[in-house]
Amino acid sequence: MITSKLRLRKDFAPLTVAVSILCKTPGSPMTQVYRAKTNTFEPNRTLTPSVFAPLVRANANDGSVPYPYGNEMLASMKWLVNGVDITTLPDWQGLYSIDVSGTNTRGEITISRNINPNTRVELTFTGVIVDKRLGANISITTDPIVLSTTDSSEDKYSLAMTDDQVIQYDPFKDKLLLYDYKVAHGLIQASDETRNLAIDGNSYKRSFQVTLYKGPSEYTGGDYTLKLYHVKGLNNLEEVTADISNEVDSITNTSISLDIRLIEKEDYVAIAYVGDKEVARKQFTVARLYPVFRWRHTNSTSIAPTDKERYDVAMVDCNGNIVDCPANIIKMVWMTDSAKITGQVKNEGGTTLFMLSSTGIGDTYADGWLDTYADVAQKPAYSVATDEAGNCLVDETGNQLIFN
Amino acid sequence: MKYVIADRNKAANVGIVLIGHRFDNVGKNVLLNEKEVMNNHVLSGDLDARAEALSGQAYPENTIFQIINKEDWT
Repeated sequence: MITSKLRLRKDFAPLTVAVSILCKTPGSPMTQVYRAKTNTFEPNRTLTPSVFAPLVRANANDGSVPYPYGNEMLASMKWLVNGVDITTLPDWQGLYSIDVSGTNTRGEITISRNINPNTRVELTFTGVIVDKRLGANISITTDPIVLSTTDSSEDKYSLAMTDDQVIQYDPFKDKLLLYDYKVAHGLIQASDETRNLAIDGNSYKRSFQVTLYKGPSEYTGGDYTLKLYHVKGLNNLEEVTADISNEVDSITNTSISLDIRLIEKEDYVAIAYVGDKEVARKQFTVARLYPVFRWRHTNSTSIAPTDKERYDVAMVDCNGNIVDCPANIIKMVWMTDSAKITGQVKNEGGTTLFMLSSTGIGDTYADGWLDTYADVAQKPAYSVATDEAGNCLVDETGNQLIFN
Repeated sequence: MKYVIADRNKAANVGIVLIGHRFDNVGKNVLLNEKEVMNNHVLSGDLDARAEALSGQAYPENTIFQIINKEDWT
């Protein structure tokens, strides 16, 4: 006899999606300079094009999306120029290309068009993420970025910075972050010399020089002030200073120092004032990277009948290198499954040590097994620790405490 | 602004991201602009010295147009 059928579905968590636009060509950024004398653009995008990528991060808290990047899932992609589909604009024909491959570069646009001075081009990406797990389409639209050109005639002001316009922070490459972790955990002695050696272009301490030019010469007038703002949207800027913004170490008229551990993704604009009048501005972005990594067990030995405890250490590879102290960057929650108990949480960290008797492992062929694994994810940007009243927590010497 | 025709592999080895760049028709050389060469932390010296370290040479913009049009760059 055939019974009635009961269809059981996997119960997936909904996707959480974050999108933004990233300039992948720091040498050909959003802003160009036009030299009227020679009728040239710097850089000339017909020679060194600009590439902008929709940065899509789709994730689900049940772990059913293996990698947080989701560009491969994009469909119905459109790039809009001032709100109009770029494919319908005659003056853009042949001056752009859009990546339609099935890779993580899907959706990137390469632009070979120079923007005339005093022309403002707002570039927006729209698309759909196809969530095959739930059979749902999720519409996404990025905040716009602005392509513009500064007319650099003799008496015009301009700002120049010594760092890229897109500052990417990869914690896996940060030797200063690793040094701090080792000192905090008593693995090495604190040493100014070692710390200084750990500071390089990948460190979370990022300082860059800012120079105001008037025409081709550095402006040396004493009435010049530099201010830094968060870009919160079109025509919505929020000033940041070392006093009120945790990620800002210092701002002077000639330099900006940031602690980019505290930044997930933020757009900034530095504005120069002579007197009270704005004379030049420079936009830049800081973004935390989430590279793909591989996690595995170190201890793969069998369990002997007389064993009481189980010890294991996580090993993580990223970009072909073994990651030193992976618990510094990756949240790892060790778990076990046995025939009797599944999903038992043991501890968080790079190592685990637990009593086998707590796992439910049995003594017969049917139940004498144990699965060990970990729920792993790269830690997000650091946050400042506060109490319930919002007061910052500090150590015994007054340093702010941060965590992630 | 000047431009540099450089060896593709050497440019990649010093950390220059080659996404979106133009290459010669055999894919050996890449076209870089002055800014990305001068902002590179691995290279040192003036533009000509840096270009030489990349087995390349720096050219003014109008010369670059002549070269890439003649050699049919991508």
